[in-house]
Amino acid sequence: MMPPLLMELKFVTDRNQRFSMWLPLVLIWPFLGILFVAILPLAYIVECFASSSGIRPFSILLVLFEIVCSLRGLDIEVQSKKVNNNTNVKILFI
Amino acid sequence: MSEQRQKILSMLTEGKITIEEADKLLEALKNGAQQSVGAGEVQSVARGASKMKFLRVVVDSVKGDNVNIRVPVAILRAGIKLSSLIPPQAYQKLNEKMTEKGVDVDINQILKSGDFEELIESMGDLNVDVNSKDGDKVKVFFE
Repeated sequence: MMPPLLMELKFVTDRNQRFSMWLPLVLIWPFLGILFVAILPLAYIVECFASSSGIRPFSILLVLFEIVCSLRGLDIEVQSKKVNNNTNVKILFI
Repeated sequence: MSEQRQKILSMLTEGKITIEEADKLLEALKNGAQQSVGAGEVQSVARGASKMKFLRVVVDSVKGDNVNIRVPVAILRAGIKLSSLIPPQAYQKLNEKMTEKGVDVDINQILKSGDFEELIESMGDLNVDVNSKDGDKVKVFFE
């Protein structure tokens, strides 16, 4: 499992203004990874004591990590080609 | 009935392969290609059905509004896993509210581990195709 390395954001507004951006998520993950690893033991301890009440922070953190990893390949593209409104939005995780 | 034929038919009833795939395999058996259609090949067809990677939602409107969404199946899996971590107390409240609205479903039972894997596997054949009178088209499918 590997989180997405890049995120592409693309907007084209009705005045034909273009805005395109590649976000290097690969630069963010090391910092978040350190935070994640720091929180994990605490979440595990809380889960050990509070799992009977249904609070499971450790499991939730692991699933959230899985969700972030599974974002790779997510592609959302919305186009509106009306006469006075020509908008295009694209979000892609690579 | 031969073992291979039985296997193909059971896979069809389980929804692991489509009618077309089953037809092709049965045709291959009929044509005397029994040796090539071994268990390995049968399994590869079944695996193909479960190899879906993306949920696609495509909306094509006559007015020019188009939506094209590709959601990895892994997100669905992870999302269902996350929802299975909801505390049981919350499930009880949710079930009560849904029963009040006339939907008598035990969500806890649906989200039991293992069941949702089967649910996602069976969604491989899902194909929703809506064509409106105006010419708008909506397609939901797995690929």
